Amino acid sequence: MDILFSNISKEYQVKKRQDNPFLNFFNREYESKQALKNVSFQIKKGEIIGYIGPNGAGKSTTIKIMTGILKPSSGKCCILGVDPMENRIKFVKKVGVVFGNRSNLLWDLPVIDSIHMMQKLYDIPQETFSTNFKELTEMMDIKNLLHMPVRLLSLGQRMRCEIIVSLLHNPEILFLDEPTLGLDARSKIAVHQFIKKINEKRSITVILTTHDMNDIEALTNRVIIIGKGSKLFDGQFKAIKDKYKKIKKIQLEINQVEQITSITNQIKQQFSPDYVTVIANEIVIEIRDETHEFEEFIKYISKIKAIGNYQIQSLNIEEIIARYYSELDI
Amino acid sequence: MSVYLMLVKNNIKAQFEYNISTYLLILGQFIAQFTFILGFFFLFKSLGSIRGYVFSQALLVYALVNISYTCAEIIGKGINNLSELIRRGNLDIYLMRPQPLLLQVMGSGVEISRIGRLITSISLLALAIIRSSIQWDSFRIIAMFIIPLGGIILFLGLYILFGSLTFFTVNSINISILLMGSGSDCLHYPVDVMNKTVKTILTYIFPFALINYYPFLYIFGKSTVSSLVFVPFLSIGFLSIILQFWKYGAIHYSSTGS
Amino acid sequence: MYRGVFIYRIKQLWQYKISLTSSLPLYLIRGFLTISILLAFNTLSLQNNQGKELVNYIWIQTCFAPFVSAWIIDSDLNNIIKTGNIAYEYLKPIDLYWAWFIRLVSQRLLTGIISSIPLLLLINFLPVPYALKLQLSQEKLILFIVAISLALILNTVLSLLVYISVFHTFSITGSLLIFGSIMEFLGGLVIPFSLFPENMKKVLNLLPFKYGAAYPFQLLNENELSMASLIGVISQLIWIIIIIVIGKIWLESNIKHIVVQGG
Repeated sequence: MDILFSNISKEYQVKKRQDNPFLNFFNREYESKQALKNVSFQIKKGEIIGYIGPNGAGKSTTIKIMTGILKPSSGKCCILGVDPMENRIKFVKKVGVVFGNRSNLLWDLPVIDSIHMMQKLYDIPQETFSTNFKELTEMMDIKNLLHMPVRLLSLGQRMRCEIIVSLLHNPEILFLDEPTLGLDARSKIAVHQFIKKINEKRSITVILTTHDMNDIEALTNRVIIIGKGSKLFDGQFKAIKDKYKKIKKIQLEINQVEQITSITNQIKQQFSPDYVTVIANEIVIEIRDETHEFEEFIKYISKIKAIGNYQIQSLNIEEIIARYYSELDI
Repeated sequence: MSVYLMLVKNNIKAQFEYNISTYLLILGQFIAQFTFILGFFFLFKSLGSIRGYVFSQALLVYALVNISYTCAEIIGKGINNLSELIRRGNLDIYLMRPQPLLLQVMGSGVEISRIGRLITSISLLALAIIRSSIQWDSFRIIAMFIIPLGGIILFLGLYILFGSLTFFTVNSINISILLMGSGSDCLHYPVDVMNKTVKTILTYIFPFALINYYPFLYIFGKSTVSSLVFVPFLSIGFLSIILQFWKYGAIHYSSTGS
Repeated sequence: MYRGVFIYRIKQLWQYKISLTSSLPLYLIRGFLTISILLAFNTLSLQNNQGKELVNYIWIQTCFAPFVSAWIIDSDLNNIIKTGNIAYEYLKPIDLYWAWFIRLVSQRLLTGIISSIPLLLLINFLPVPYALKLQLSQEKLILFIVAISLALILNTVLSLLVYISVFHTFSITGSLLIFGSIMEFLGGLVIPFSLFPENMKKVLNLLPFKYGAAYPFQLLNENELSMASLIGVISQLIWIIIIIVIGKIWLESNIKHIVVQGG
């Protein structure tokens, strides 16, 4: 077992804010805010885990605890058989971290300088370093970037370099905190492919937090969903998708705009759609493809002359997760 | 150590990426220091001597303290960046690297521009030595090296102390900038020049008397105890207490987050 | 329009009022330390006038530091110039020079008022050698207010030159360090003006820096107002005009350059 997280809780002490800044200055009253409540999970070697949840759910707190930056208030965290807080220097040599919104590279200097810096910082033996360096730069195709100063790289190029420097020391676990934040579609795919490859090749464990469900679809089977500090789901991502497979989204284009309200009202009366919205000359309706209702609905709309065109779609991945979050009330 | 030197090298290299502004800063530091010394000179010229110290003696104290202060600034100024590092979350990156945190923070902000000031203070030392009428013996010569060493340790200790406070409240660094900026002026004079309260503080709390008072008692012939020149070494004790405080601060940081 | 700039800037700075007031004790410590060093010189004592005058000088300098100091940085403005966001500024329908002037002057004014008034009250109650002891007459007070206000304007237009130089140096700290150290030294802020040698004083009388700092401070120490003290105000006015003209021409040529080169 690579990662063992058992009954971890984390409370923050937050200063109570007073309106009066003067009082605020002397104020010593604290509120405690529970960032994580009794979270437990286990991760096996070589797994890729998607760790997701809405903003403020406790994702980064979890990552910080797993990487030994933050100390949990209670519970036991055991990474690669050790407590990450215990012997920091020994521990961090076995893991690699990429934070999507901050950089591990030397901003003003060429990429190669950052790479050599990592060799020294992690005390990587020359042989390991050379093979790793060669392999990674080829896989990520950054050879021509090596002599460019980091500040001149595009975000996508920079992220590729960030991932490379986090892997030079052969870590057993790779933490990726929103690695695709702000990347364009092509760079995202490049990152996906690289992570997949490196995971297969080295059977490195990958923990990935993201808001982009395409990352999850492309990379992981298992996801852990966290909300309001608690673990709400742990299992196959497919299970969530299946849950919403039955929901169909139907877009109706109305020819006679003046009738749009009456049509909407009729639909609402005769059927029980989950969701109805009107945008300009379109009505969007969601309905479950379970009973006869769906078929009847299709028959009904094909009879109405005012409806010009209609489209039936399934929910896309982003919609599914948004739906699931609201269902979990997080 | 080699890791630290590597960080320093990268840092300096990065600073020279912005050529004009770095050279400008070096020049600026030189001018700033030069005007300061000119002021010091005029002060003595129009006001005579200061409580038992003639100009050349005060100058020697000033130069040695200034060398220590400047060197400490070159290596320790990075600690002032700590609040910025915490706010931007970059400290977490340092925490994820297998090297001591303090070393990385220091290595990330070497103030190469202070070289400009170091040049002035070293030439000042030369001037002070030439103008003084000190009877040089081996102890007095050794002292010229021990005093800056002890001084660097003390000033670094102050930087680390104020840096450690940042782990508790991010705003504290402003205080350090103000105190180190203007408060440091008075450290350039022997403590017995000061009024009694200041003197007590500088002897027992922030022990700058170790470098700007005790060794000079022997150097200026006010005492015959030659071992006084080794007193600056006591500053190591001050530093080790503060390093403990730094460790405590870092642990506090990891239990509260930012 | 300019009132808008002023009000916005004051509001923005008001956010930092706690850090502004918390630096008060530090100002106090600084003044206290400087005085204790000065009083340690053998020739100075409170018996002679020179000692008293120096104590007063240091305190007034400390209280009005935000008005006279060269080290006041408006980092937002610095960023605007450095990053090339000047294009946006240029699109606003106001004269850049005066807009910047208002920004800087309001910063100095607010920080000055927040720090100097409480400090002025405090230092009257300090124990004897350290207290501020002034003999004030109505005329002297009025002249001082005029002089310190003009000094505020003079220092602001001087520091505007420093900001404009960022177009060439790309670093406010570099520019400020060079200009600032010279300004502060020649203005009598590093050591009190009266301690300069006589012939140096003569040269400094011909430069603008003294009129932004030492001149108003010395007014308060004078026993009787003389013609010479009034001439100072005229010098202040002349220098203000000269420096505004230089600043405007310099800024315009820089902007023309940017517009042509495309920033």
